[in-house]
Amino acid sequence: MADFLKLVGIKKSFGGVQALKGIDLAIGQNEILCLVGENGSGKSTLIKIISGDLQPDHGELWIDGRVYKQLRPIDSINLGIRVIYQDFALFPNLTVAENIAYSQLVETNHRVVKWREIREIAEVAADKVHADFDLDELVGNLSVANQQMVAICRALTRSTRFLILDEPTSALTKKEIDHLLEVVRDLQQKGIAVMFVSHKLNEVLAIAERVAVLRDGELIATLEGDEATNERLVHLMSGTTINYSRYEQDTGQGARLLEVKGLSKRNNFQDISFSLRRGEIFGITGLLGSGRTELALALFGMEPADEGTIVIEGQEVTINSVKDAIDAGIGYVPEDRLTQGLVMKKSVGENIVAAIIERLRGQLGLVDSNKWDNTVHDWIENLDIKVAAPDVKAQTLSGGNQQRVVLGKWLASSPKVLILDNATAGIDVAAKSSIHQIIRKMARQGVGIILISDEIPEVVNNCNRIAIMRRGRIVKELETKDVTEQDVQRLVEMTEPRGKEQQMAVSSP
Amino acid sequence: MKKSIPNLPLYVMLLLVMVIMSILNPSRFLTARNFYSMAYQLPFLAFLSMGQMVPIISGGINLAIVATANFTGITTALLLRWFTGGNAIGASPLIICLSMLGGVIAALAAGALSGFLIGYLRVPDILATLGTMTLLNGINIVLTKGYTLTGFPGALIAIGNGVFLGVPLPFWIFLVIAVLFSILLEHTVFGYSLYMMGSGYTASKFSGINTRRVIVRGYLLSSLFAALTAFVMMGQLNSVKANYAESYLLVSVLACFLGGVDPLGGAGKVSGLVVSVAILQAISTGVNLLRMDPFFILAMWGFIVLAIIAVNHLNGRFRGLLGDLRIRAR
Repeated sequence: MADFLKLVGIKKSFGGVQALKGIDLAIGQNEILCLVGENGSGKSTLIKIISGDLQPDHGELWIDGRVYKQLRPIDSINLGIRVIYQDFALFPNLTVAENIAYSQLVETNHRVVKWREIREIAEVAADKVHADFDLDELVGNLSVANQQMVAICRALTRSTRFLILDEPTSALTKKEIDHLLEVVRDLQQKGIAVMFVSHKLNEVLAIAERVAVLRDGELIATLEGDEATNERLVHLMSGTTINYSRYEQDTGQGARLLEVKGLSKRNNFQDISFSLRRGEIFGITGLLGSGRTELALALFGMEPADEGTIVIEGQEVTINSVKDAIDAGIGYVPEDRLTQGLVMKKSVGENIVAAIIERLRGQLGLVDSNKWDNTVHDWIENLDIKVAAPDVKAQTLSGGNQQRVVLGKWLASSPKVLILDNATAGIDVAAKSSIHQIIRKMARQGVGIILISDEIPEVVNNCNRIAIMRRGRIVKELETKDVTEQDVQRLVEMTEPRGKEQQMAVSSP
Repeated sequence: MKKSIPNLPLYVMLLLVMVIMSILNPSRFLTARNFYSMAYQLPFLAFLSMGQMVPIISGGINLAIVATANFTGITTALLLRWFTGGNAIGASPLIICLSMLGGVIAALAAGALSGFLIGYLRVPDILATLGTMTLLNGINIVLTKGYTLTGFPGALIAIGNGVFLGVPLPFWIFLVIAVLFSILLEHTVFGYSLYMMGSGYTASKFSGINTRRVIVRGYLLSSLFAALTAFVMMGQLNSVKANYAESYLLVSVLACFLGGVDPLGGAGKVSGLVVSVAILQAISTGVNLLRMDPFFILAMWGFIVLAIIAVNHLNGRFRGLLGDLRIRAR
């Protein structure tokens, strides 16, 4: 079988960082390949080189037997290469039909829009994937899974040879994933090669004929589909074997720190109740869009809840702003360090004091520079933040160190409850495990931790209890000592019987 | 880490301008009389630029700053007339104070409007302050019917025109204000919040900084500077009018950029701004001495800023237009 695409010795560096260190990879005419690797392993760079968005520093691309040293985006499209990014890049305020027909219309360069033509293009494409959505519906109103189908349809409107799906399953339920896999198999029959790109190990592996593992810009291994076991891939991706030890802490005697009763926010989450004891780590997991982040933002006062009560140490508190939350003793470490966690252009020191700057007031209401320096030094030391000086800008730090600065910012505020929302996403294994150690240490010192994560091993091993959220509700609460990671995984991906609660599935775009 | 002198290129440029102007104006530029005249003129642009600097640091801009200054001057002048029944020159100190207070309140109202639109309704800063500017310009013309109001009491005129220990009074005020302003920006919670918010709005919000309040306070402070500018202007021109100093709106923005205030917000020091205003003043005075067309001054200012941007851009250091500014808001 001839290769559709062959990469030979592809190298790419940004500044001093080598993102790809010589990649050799081939994809057959109608092969299904899975490319896995942790965040920062070079997956995105590789996709962008194939799509022509980036030019490699060294190496060649062979497509259909022709060699390309410089591949422009338009060449890539003309050769039939389509990338569907994680965010789909759709127009939420246009209809399904318009979204699907868009790129073909642009290409034909008509001056006048022919509505009948739009509809025909869309119908043909929707038929290819057996999609059953309404072509006149606005894309913004569709579920994530259907939006993905629209994106696939759009990619199929012109002669497609090779489809790249970037993180295609992170927001899908089991049933939706099955449908996606069916569609992909069907495309394969039609002679289209498919590459799944993912940092997580999941069902996608099941239909991959080969799995390529990327680590630190190098292609570590290419396995046949049936050789690719979970353990083996984890080992290859991380370079180390993660030995998660379970967090075991008897908190039966701990005082009730936080109690949430009937918390609801329209279109976000419904009737959430749980409690947290001193020293406990409480995990919340669920798919993207299950309402877990929205719940965290409500507890943190960013997007306050509509109804329900929040009780901290027996006192009912009203949380309508971030300030209220901080005053009540709640801190929040977000997933998105770049825009939410840190002011990147400012120094490590300035970021560490951000939540407690008002407490550093001294004489005449001016900021006391001794208190400032002490706070900053304490937390740099306590959390072992690797930084030359406190006035180094946050953006120069590694992901793990940045997240430690965010942790420092909140720990400096001596919180009673600390919420971590996917806080270890995108940082390497060593840094991740050191953050877990910090969390456990804080919990033992009496801070109540809410650990939100979509990595099942992370919650199962670090938490005393786990709540599983689905469509804005807590559907199950479990003690971790009784369950395995597989049990939880199954619960997370389970699809609810179609019913009233279907309404909740619509996540805001 | 290498210790760099902040604003070094700015000092070099100031020196360069001084030298060039001295050569072009031998025996006229380097004289006590000329320096006196620079010290007399500089505070006007300095206060206006400080008022512009606050919103720019917070990530915005105040296009209504000159209109606010005129609004303040006109309100003060009308109150003086109203209190004294037309004989403003002989107003008592109490009436002068009350009238000026009225002017300050007018300025604060304008600042509150812009701040509310931007902070609470999330109207883009350019749009909000353009609206406030247009509104105030309209009100200013209605209030004055387009005429120039003139004739103020000596005590008020002294703010812009007085002399103390042989140095123009406005220059003394400028020195005190510059020090206080610098302390405010670098050693208070408000100053810290302003820099943080200007560098990362969302992250600041996620850190519990009350971004709305900081924005409103920023525009209030900006308007206070506009009011101060108005009083200096009243003393130096002995008149108020609806459209005075309109061309200085963009000069105030330009002075900030030249002084190293980051156009994207979040960085900039008072010392840099002061040097930048001194450069612009030296150019303007020097060109005046050469008896050249005064409009040539504007062209020169523009040229200087473009030249600095080009040089820094070629150096790959576009951000913070002049060199390695290391701001520590503390």
